Amino acid sequence: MAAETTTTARVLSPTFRAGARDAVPFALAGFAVAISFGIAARSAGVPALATIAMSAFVYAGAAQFAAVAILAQGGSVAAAVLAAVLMNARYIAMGVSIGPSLKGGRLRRALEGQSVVDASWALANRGDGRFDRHTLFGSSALQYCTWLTGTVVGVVAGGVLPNPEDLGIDAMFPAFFLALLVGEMRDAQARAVAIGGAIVAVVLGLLAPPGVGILAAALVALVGVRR
Amino acid sequence: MSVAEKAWLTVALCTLTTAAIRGFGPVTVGGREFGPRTQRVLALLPAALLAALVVTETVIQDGALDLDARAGGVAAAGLVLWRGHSVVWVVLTAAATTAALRLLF
Repeated sequence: MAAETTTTARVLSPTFRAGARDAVPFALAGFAVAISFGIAARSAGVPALATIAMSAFVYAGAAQFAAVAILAQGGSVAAAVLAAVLMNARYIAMGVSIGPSLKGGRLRRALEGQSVVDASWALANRGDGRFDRHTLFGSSALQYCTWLTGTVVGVVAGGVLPNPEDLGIDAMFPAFFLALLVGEMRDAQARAVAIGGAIVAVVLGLLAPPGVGILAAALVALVGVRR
Repeated sequence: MSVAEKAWLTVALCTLTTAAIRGFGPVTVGGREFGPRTQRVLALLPAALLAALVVTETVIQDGALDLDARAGGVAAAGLVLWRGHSVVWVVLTAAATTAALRLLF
């Protein structure tokens, strides 16, 4: 009992609450995008429970949208999962960077690493090569709640709204990821890779089977080996 | 395989791979670090993939080029983003502009 109280006090530390507070705009935008994910997944033929399970257990917006977009285009499970894996590959880099700031043995570190999403990772970055893990947990916890509830709302709305496209919800996802993309534009090479990836994705999106264009765009990042 | 079965299999495999990917960095970082070239490629992956997702989800519909209201909405979102507004406004502007364009045309 005493140990449990101590744990609660530590988890709800000032930096945990500060992390949650800083994450409010991302959590609100995530709520809106999650609604659009729920609707998009339902219209792609994904069962309601599977859509909610995906947000609950995967909790990675870009990967979820990429996988569902490929299923919606009639692509295979392998292509959908591969697209999600490649989309999530950035978490390897984020996990490596945040590793030294986490605590405990291998299992605990692996569990703590589950809290990494784009915005929580960025908010936890102290700018000196170290990360505040309570900020990470706090911002991730709030975003998880709105991502999950937004998905449930989207799943329900998808069954009620006669034509969700009338509300422009299909533009929310590309807009949200445009905001994340702008955050990635740190130098000239990143900008060149983004333009290259966009061109490859559009050209192959018109010529190749569903999903191939997005996967092929990942290859453009290989120019990074030159430097 | 039905669409529902494909969806459930995709959810299960995405759950496993995502958890493994998120756990990978924290578990391995104590031992081996990636070389600078690998780290650079990993750092550039989001730019390539996010750009690919944004453009395909904006201008392609059912395998064909489709510059419709949605593209206008994302362009408006880009303007709001460029003006330095919160991501909440970026997302809502995209939806509102797209909805308005669909209503008008």
